[in-house]
Amino acid sequence: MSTQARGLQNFISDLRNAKSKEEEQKRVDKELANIRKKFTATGKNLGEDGSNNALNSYSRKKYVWKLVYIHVLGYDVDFGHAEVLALVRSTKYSEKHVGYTALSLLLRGDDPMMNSILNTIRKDMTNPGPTSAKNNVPTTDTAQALALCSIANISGLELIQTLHSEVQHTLTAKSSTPCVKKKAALCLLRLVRTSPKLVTGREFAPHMAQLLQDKHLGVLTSSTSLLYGLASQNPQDYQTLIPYAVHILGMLVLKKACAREYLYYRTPSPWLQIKLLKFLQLYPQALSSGQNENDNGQEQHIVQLISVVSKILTETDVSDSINKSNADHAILFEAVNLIVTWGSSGPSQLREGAMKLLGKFISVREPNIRYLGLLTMAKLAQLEGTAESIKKHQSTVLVSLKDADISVRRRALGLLFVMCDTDNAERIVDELVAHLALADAAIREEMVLKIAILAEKYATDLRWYVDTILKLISISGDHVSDAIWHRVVQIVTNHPQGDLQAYTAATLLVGASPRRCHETTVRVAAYVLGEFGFLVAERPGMSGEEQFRILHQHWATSDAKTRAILTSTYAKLANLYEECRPLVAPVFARCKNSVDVEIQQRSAEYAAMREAFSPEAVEDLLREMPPFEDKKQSALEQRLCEKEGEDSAAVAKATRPSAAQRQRQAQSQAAARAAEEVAAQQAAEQNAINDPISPISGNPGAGPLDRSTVGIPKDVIPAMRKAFSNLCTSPSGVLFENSLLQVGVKHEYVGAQGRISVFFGNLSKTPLLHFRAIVDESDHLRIQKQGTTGLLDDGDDGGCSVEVRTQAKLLLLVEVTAPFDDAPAMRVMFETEDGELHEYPLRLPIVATCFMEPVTLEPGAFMQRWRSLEGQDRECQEVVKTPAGADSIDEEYMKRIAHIITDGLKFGRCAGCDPTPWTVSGAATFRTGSKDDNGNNINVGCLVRVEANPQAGAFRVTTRTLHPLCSKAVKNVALVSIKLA
Amino acid sequence: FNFFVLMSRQGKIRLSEFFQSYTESEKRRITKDIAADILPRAPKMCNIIEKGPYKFVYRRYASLYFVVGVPLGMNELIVLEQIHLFVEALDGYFNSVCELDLVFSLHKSLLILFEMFIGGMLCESNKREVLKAIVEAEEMVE
Repeated sequence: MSTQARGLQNFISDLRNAKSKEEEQKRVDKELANIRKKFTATGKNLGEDGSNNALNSYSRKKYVWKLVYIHVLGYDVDFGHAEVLALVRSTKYSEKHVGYTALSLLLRGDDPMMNSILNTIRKDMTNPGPTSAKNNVPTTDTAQALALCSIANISGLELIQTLHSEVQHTLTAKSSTPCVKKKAALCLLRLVRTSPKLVTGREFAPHMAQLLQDKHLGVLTSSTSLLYGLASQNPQDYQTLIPYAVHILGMLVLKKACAREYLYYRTPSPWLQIKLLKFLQLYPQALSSGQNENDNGQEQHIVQLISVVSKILTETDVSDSINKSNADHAILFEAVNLIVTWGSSGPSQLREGAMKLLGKFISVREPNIRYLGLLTMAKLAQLEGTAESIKKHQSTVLVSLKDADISVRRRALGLLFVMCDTDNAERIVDELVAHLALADAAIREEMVLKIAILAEKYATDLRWYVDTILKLISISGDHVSDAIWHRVVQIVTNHPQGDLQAYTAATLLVGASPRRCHETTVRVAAYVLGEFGFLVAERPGMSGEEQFRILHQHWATSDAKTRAILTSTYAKLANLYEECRPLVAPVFARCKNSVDVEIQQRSAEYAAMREAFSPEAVEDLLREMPPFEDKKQSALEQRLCEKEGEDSAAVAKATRPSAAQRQRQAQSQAAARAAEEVAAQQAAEQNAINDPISPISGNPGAGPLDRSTVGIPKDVIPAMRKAFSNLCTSPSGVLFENSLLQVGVKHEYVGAQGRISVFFGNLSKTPLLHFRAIVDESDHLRIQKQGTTGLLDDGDDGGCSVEVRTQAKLLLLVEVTAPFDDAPAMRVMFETEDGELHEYPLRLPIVATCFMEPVTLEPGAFMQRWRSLEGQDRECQEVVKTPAGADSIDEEYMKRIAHIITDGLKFGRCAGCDPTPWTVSGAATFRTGSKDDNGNNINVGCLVRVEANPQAGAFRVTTRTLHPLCSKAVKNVALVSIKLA
Repeated sequence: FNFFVLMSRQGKIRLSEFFQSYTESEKRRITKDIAADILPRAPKMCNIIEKGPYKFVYRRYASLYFVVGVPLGMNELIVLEQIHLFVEALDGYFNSVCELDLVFSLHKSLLILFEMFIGGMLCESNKREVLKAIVEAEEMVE
C-alpha cells in the first residue's frame, strides 16, 4: 500500500513539517477543500448513493485514508461518508477493508447514512463467500471479521442493534472460525452493554457454556469478557457457569496448562485469569451456598477455587521482568478483590494472607504496586475485624500521604479516611490538617472535604470539631465549600448541651479579630455570633459592641453574600444591645441603596421593622433559629458521593454512623426530649398567660395554613391585640379590620349566658366568595350558632358570598359550664375575586370576666375571704408597668383603674378595703350554667386587688379565687385592661 | 477501555480511538487532560491517574505516551500490560517500531489496533495470531 499512497505520504510529511499549530491547521483545511472538491460529483458521475463515480479505486482509497488521518489528528471530518460507504459496498477486499476501517472511525451510529449500509453489513455477515481468497474477493470469515469489528467499534449503537441476531448467530454457529467467534463475542458484548435486553440469560447460558469449553484460548478470552459483561447485568442467570470458570482457572493456575503462544512472560494468559476472577467476584455468596447444599460437585469446585486463590496468594513473586511482575500482580490483586467480596464467608487464612501481602505492598518502592496496595487495602478495610491489623500500617500510610505522586497521595488519603475510627481519629485528622498546609491545590478540596467528615464523625468533643474546621478555613479557606461551614452551623445549633455554642462563638470572635482573615471565617463568625453571640457578651472584650466592631471591620472587603449574612447579624445585635443601635443604623441606611437586591431588601426591612411591628413581633423575627432537621445524609456526604460514585469504600464508610455520632445523637435526642417537655410546660404556661389577650396564638400565620393562603397581615397585629383587649371590657367594638374585611362584635351577658353578634363587613371593591366563619367548640362553653346562610358551612365550596358594602352576620348564644382562661377561636376564610385564599385565625372576646356578677362586700368580709383564699394555686399575682409615654400614676389614673375593675371586669368595688387612693379591691361571682349535686348552679367567688406604685410607675395585680383557672383568667384580663387604661 | 490515545512528548496526537460516543468537545477535553496531567509526570511515578469517572493508565515508550482511559474498577496493571502487548505487536510488525513508523503508517497501526481490541476490549492476546491476520489481509490486498 506504500506505493498507492504517495499522496498520503506527502500529506503526512507536510503536516510533520508544519512549524505551528496554525500552519498545520492551514494545511489540513487546504487538504479538506481538495478532497471535498474531488468527492463532489457532477452530472452523470453522480452515483446512486451520492458518491462520485469518476473516482477510481486508488484515489478513493487515498482520499478516504487522508480523511481518516485528519480525523485521528483530532479535526472534524463531516463529509465523504458516501465515498466510505461505496468502499464498504465494494466486492474487492482491499476496498472493503479501507471502507470498514473508515466506517468505524468516521461514522457515528446515529448517522442517517447508517441506514443505507445496514444491508451490506448484513450480507457480509451471513452470505457464504468463496472459501479461499481469489481475485481479491474476500472470504466469508474475513468479511465477517471486518463487519463485526466495525459494528463493535462504531460508536452510538442505536441502528446497529438491528443486527444483533446476526451477530449472535455468527457467534454460536458451528461453521464460524475461531477468529470470527472471538470477534462476534466482543461485538455482542458491545451491543448488550448498550441495550441489555437483547440477550436473555436463560436462553443464552447454554451457548455460553458451550463457548467456555472451546479449546481456543482467544475464543475463551473473548467469551469470558462476554460472560462477565452479561453476568454483571444479571448474575442470577449465569450462576450455573461458575464451575466452568473455576475449571478453566484451575487449568491455568494449578496445572499451568496453556498454549505457548498464550503465555505472557511465562504467565498463562493473565487476561483470561483476570476476567474469570472478575466473574467470580459477582458471586459473593458462592462459597457459603455451596456448603449449605452439600452438593458434591459444588464442594469440589469450591475446594478447587480456594486452592487456586491461595496458590495465587502464595506464589506471586517480584520478578526481574517488569512485565511479568505486572501481570502476576494484576492477577494477585484480582484474587484479593475476590477475597474481599467473599468477606467473612471466605477462609480466614486467605484474608490474613491478603492483609500481610498488602501490608508489604504499601511500603514497596514500585509506585504502581503501592498505589494498588493502598487502593485494595481500603477495600479490605470494609470487612469486619480487619481494622486492628490495618491500624498497624498507619504510619506507613502517612508516609505515602507525602509522596510526590498525586495518585499515591489520593489513595493514601482514601485509605486513611477508611481506616479512621474513634481511637485514631484525632491523630489522623491532625496529621491530615498538618499536611494540608503543604498539599497542592489538586488534592486540597478532597482533603478538606474528608477531614471535615472525619472530624464530624469521630469527634468525641465537638469543640475539637469546631477547632478543626476553623483550622481548615485558615489553612485552605478557598477549598472549604459552603456545605462545610453550613454543617458547622447546623451542628452547633443542634447541640445546645454543654458550652459548645458559647465556645464556638468565643473562638470565632477571636478568629475574626485580625484585620485580615478568610471570608469564610467572617461568614461563620457572622452567623454564629448572630445566633449565640449573647452567650459570650458578658466576657471581657466580647460585648455586643465589640462583636459588632470586629465583624464590621471586614465589611469593606466582603462580597455580597457575606454582607447579607452580616446584615442579619447586625439586626440581631441591634436588637439585643441598645448600644449597638446607633452603630448599626448608619449601615442599614447606607445599604438601603445597595445595588445588591438581597442586601437592599434586608437592610430596608431591618431598619423599618422596629417602627412597623410590636416589640414582640420583632423579638419573634430575630429569635434564634430553630434546630436544623437531622437529615440522613449530610450535604458533605452527598458531595463525596458525587465525587466518588455510590459504591466506593469511602462512601460506604461515610454513611455508616460512628460510635461518637451515635452517642451524640442519643444525647441530643435525650436533650431534645427534655427540651420538649420543658417547652411543652412553658408553652402551657405561656398559653395560659397570653391566650386571652392575644388574638392569635404564638406565631402569626401559624396553624393549618397552606402556602397559597393569605393569613393575617403582620402590620395589623398590634391593632388587633388592642382591639381584642378593648372588647374584653366593652360591650361592642371592632375586632379586626384590614383593607378587605371588618369584623365587628357586640356582646352582652346575663349570668352564665351570653349573646354575641359578629358582623363581617366587606370593605373591598369586589364580593368575597366562599365566606365562612368557623367557631371552634370548647369544653367549657355551650355554643349555639346562627348565621347568614352558608356562613357556617365548613366545606371547601361552602360558605356564602358577601357583596360589596354588605355584611354577613353570625349570632352566638353561649352558656359557660366551667371556669376557663382562654378565648374561643374563630377562623374566618374567604376567597377574593382573583382567587386569593384568605384565612384569618381570630379569637372571640368571650373571656371569663364576661360572666362575672358584681358582689359588694363589707371590708371585713372581703379581708376574711381574701385571707382564706391565700394559697399557691388559688392566687395569681403579676406586676405590670404603665405603658411608655403614659401619664404618671395619679388619682385620676386610679379612677380609670377602678372604672376598669367595676365596669370592665364587672367586679363590685369594695371601697372600704382601700384606705389610700393607690389600691383598688373588688369582688365578683363567676356564674356557670352547670349544676352541682343539689341542683344549684356552680359559682366561683373571685377577689381582685390592684396596688399601684406611683414612684415606679407600676401596678401589682393580685387575684384570689376558688378556682385556679379563674384566678389566672381574671388576672390576665385585668392586666391587659390596665395596660390600655 | 473507553479510549486509546497515543501522544508524543510534545503533546501531538499520533493515534486516537474512542470506543464510546464522545462528542467532539468531550474528546478535546480528554486530550487536553492527558496533555496536562500525564506529560509532566516524573518517570518514577505510578502509571495510573484518577480523573473523574475514569482513570488514565499510561505507559511511556521513548518519546511516545500510550494512554488508555479505563472505567474505575478495571484492573490497572493488566491494562498496563495490554498496552505493552500492543506495543510488542507493533514491534513485531514494524520490526522495532519507532514514532515515525506510526506517523507514516497510521493505517497499519489502526489495523493492528482493531485486530487486537474490539469495542475497547482485548480480543486476542496472542500477538502471533494478530500478526498472522494482518499479513493475511495484506496478502489479499496485493
